[in-house]
Amino acid sequence: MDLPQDIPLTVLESNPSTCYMLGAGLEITYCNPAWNRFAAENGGVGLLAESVLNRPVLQYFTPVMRDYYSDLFARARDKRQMLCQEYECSSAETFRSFQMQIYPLKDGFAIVNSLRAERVHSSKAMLPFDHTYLQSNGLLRMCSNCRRTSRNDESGRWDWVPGYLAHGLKNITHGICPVCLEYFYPMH
Amino acid sequence: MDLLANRRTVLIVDDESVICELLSCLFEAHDCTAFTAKDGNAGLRICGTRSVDLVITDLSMPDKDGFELVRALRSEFPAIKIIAMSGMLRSEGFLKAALAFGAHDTLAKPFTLISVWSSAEALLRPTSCLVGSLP
Repeated sequence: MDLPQDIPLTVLESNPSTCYMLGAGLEITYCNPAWNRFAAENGGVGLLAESVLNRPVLQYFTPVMRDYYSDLFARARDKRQMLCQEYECSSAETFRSFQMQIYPLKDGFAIVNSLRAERVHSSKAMLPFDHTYLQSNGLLRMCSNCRRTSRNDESGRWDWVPGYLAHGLKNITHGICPVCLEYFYPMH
Repeated sequence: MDLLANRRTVLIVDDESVICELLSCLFEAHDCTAFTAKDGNAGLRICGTRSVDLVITDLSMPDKDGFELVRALRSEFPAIKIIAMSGMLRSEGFLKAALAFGAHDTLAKPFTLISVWSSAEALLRPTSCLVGSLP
């Protein structure tokens, strides 16, 4: 695949997806208008372009994901290949799945985040002591990575329950859901 | 030379079995002996019957929680090093409180295994001059 040495900013400016560019040291050098729109619509005041420019992009990833994304950028650069990564960026009300496309350039990267799926969370449970989730010991089991909550039946399902995060409950025990266990601790 | 003489013993206290299993594997991979307990009471019983060098405890547990366990350990087994863990959102306050109760270090969930081992290794390193000098 022939990769561009550079990408004209006009291409990114008009792109409806959130796009940004990184320098060779992974510092943010450009954000397109869609980036600012997404930040503004989701309460990300500190994430507007003027706040993030020239800052290292890795500081905006959760600490546990920084090494992973650092490796991903390095792989794209070394292989000179466009790489894709699926990720979730949900709000309390809305589930969103994105695909990140990483284009290595001559002196850095261009990143395009395309929205793949968007819907209102399917879970209706909002009450702090919903019997779907409360365990026999009186605690709720939440994944410390993705913050999904385990049902108390044999289904093995972990649901996204925004109300449990919004309420800041104290009766929560933090484990790791099977998906995160496999993803974050693959050698286990 | 008796290699087992230097083998360190770690107790993991967490009501989440997956955390216990994950950390047990980590410490056994580093040639430590690992025990697990589901709450503070069970953890204290193990400390009373085994020679434990380090306890890693969750703070939010049924029955005797991590804060109570930290306080009991500092009182009854002052030589044991303690790492407190919390997965609460904005856990900084909980972890600072655990330090005030006597924990030697803290970890926020989610953690990386590297960070767990790094913290544990520092506390397991022989420091005979410090033993007994902590409050």
